[in-house]
Amino acid sequence: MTFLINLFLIINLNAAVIKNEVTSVGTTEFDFKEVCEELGVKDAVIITPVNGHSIECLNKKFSLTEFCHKKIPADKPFARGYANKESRKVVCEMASKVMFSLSCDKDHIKFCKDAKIGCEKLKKIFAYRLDLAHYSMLEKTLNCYFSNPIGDNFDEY
Amino acid sequence: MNTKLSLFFLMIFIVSIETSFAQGFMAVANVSNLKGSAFGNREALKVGTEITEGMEIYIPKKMESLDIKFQNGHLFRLIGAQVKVIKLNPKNAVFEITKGKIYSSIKPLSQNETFDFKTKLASFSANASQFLIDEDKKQTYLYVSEGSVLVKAGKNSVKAVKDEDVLIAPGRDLKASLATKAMSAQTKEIINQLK
Repeated sequence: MTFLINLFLIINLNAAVIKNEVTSVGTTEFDFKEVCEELGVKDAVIITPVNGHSIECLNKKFSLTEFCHKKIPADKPFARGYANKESRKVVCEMASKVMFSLSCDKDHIKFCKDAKIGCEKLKKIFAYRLDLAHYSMLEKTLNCYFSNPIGDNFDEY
Repeated sequence: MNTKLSLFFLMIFIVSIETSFAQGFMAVANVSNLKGSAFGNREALKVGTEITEGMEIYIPKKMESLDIKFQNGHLFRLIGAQVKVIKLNPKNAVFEITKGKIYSSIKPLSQNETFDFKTKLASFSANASQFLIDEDKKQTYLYVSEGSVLVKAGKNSVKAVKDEDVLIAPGRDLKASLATKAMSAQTKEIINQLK
């Protein structure tokens, strides 16, 4: 159920994203085919990245952020999963900082009613294991600033 | 007759200069702009209200703001904030932030001047700097847009310089690191609005 909600959010978010700046500290990549197999769809003939953050293996949609969350060790600052259409790979990205700005138009007003709650929802898609350090609502724009999790040291990445 | 009249106007001139000087000296800071409603010791604040030592400033709504201008040029914008003025005189200022955001532009201070902020988890000393402090009860976030800010949390301290930020929370190492360009642009935009 959570996955379906996240998938719905992802599909509807792309048009409203004003800014998504990621201070990347490393990536891990997986072939599309390997991802579908890991998700239980073997020998998928048709594999299509539906949007930046989900993939379709034989008509079944999967969130790449959810996939990466399971694949990346818990002590790493995993932020988001996305599809690279050119290389046909899923990229699981680690980050120390993520700044995300969303336009509060009528389709996305649900994120903007309470800035903190809105940013917490966006965290699950764009900054999975990071902490919400700062949030603000400025001129109909929701700004979420995520920082690396408590107690972790990412200098080794 | 002319001499008496001249003396009369001279006296009025001296008195008016003294009065305006005294007024200028007495009010360290005043409300310079208000968007929404804000309260000082539970009384509604308006543009021009003097900010005084001991005052508890409260902005109930998260998006509403109050600007404060200091006689010596420092500028504040409080957004959805709850702040107590612990100390306020022309040389020293200490503000305790319970919640909300404070965007600050602090002019260069002389040797005897200090400008400090306190939150539940840390204290911040500013000099010739522009920065944001965001207090969320469980954590405090600092971003430095210009100059530097000295952060003290327990026995640890760190100096955050231009374009660095610090997130202070229980169990987290106290360290400054480079913020994103977007955070930098957003903070600068708000600080530039202050006048």
